[in-house]
Amino acid sequence: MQKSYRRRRQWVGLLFVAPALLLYGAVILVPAGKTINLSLWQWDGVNTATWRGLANYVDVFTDAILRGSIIHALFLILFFSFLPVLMGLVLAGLLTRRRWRGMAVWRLLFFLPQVMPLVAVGIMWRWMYAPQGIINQVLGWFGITRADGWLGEASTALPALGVVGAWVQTGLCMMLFIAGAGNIDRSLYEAARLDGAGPVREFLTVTLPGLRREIGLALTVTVISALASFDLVFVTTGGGPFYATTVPGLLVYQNLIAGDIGHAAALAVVLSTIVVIAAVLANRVGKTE
Amino acid sequence: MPSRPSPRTAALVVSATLVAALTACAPTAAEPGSTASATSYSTTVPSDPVTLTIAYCDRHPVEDLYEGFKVKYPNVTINPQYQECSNFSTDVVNQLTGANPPDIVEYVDAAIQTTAPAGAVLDLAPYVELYGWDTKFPTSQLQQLQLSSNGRVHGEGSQYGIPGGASFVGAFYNKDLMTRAGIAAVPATIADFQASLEQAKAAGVTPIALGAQDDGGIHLWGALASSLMGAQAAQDWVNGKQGATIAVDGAIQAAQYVADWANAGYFSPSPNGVSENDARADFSRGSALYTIDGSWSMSTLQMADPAGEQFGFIHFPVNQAGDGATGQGFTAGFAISSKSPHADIAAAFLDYLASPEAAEITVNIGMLPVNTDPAVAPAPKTFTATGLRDGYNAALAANGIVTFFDHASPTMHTTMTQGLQGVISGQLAPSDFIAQLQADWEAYHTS
Repeated sequence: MQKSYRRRRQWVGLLFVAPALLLYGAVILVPAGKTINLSLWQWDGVNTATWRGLANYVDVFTDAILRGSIIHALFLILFFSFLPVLMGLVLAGLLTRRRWRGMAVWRLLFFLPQVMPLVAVGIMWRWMYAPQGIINQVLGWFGITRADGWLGEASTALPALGVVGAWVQTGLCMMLFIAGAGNIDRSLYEAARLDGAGPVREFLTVTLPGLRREIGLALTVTVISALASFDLVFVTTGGGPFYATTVPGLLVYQNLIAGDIGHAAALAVVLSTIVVIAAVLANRVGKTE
Repeated sequence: MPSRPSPRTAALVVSATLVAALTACAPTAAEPGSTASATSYSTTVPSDPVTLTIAYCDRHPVEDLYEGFKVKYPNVTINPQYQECSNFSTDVVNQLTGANPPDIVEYVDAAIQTTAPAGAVLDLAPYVELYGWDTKFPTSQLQQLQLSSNGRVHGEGSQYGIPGGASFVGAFYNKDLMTRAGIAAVPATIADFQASLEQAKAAGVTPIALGAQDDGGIHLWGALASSLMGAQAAQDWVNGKQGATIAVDGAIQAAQYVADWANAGYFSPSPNGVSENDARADFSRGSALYTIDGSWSMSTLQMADPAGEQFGFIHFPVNQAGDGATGQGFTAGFAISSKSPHADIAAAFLDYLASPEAAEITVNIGMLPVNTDPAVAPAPKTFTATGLRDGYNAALAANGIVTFFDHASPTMHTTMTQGLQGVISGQLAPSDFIAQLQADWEAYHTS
């Protein structure tokens, strides 16, 4: 009697999750499965497909342009993820220490880049980085004359895109950390102060450990955005100059519009795998125990 | 409860089953209608009311032209479907292979190459004969819209499109700056051209406005290569003709010129960091003596110079005096869906594109008409447009129109753009650049 009740309860439980499971299956699992399937074929999207097995994956790992793109994406993590988390911590530390006048304005200003569409951000920075753009003009006031555009030189293009990413993500990190700092028990600060801690000591011993979960979250979100970056590169450099800024997301797109769905899918699968691994690692930081 | 699987395991099993179920079968698209509805071809346009759907992304020339067509056939309602250009190729593939395709689509090379072998595009050869299009349109323009049965080789096989407007690349120049640099006559040969660059540089005038960020300056290299290789060899390679090669002296020399001119400082600053649009805008504001660009830039130039007197146009200088004029260009054409129930009416619309009325509309908005017969095409009204027409006609007469080089394979645009950026920055040797192009070509055409 009790046994059958328990079994029924199991089925009822499944019934409860069924709508969510079906939806998740339809929009996530089915497309994922289809992508994996497509990665094993050579197909232009219309005509008869030819079986390729794992050959598309072999190409993915042996192609120099592709390996370069993965290295570029990893490099972008420095700018999209590590730098914003650092800056976000500093800003949050400054802004939460005491009540500043016009706090809302500061928050808004730093968060604004996060609200703007990345395509608009990209076009704006492209103009700023142009040979006669505002950045070179400002440098000119200090006697530094630069005739080259920042996105036009192989040595500066990728870091220049990285700076844009840092500019966008810092606001997000700051907001997360300010919100997180609000949850830290005030008495911890008082205790630290009674023990004679200065602002830096206070930040390191109370704020930083208290923000562990938020830091983990910020790292996860920003690492994913670095690895999956596409729109910013697409509207600024298109992967150039001379492959200096190609990222995997861009190559997926380029293969797709060139009618090479198999390679695009194989690349997408590899990229997704890297993203999942990176996200799991980043998430570890946030685990409190 | 040992028999009860943990929720995590259950989720994994469900996901794995779903994924596995999907990885076993071959991908297929919706079957396009292999049996064309137009079993009979006719030039008669029925008088019942019909709606003709046209999908396009270049605003020219459809919007201006369909009004004119409506005057001729009042029973035909045209339903223009404007679509975003950036994704148009993919859209055309999906629409032509879908259940309810538009009657007419703007001819996008890549999309037609994919869908025509599947039977989704109507072969217009019978209409060519019925309407006499082979006499109304230049042969080279019709050939650009022909494809082999596997869709990979241009210039042979079935006629999948009809020209709707022509584009042509050449050298735009700034008259004032030419005077300031003391250049007496527009250059006729590449040697003259190079001398004029040097003269401009010495006079403190930027010789060439070049934006290579989004396409590597394909038009500059392509113009040089067309002249140095000769139009026929270049066209064979772009068409994908068996045995064709780009690994020839002319093409390497063209890349060498690009490298040398970059070194000599003949380009506007940091070409790899400036988009083609921005370079064009800079040129229209008088920043440089030349820009190598196509007829589509007329609208930008007209905005800066409404009278059309400031900028001249020449077909790109030839290799040696006496050589025939060359230039890259492609026709903005139209194709008919094989599923269209109104193929005859659609064909009548395409025929209208070659009419004097259509030519007048095209010329009035500063574009090149497809039908260049002086009896049909009215004279251009400005200095710039006259130069464009003359340059285009000279190349046409010399059989010198070369399809854009990046049509040679689906990946060629990227290979060329990135490679040329390497040539401009000095990171890639001209001969290595050409070897990369040939490798890309061979991967597509000999697989």
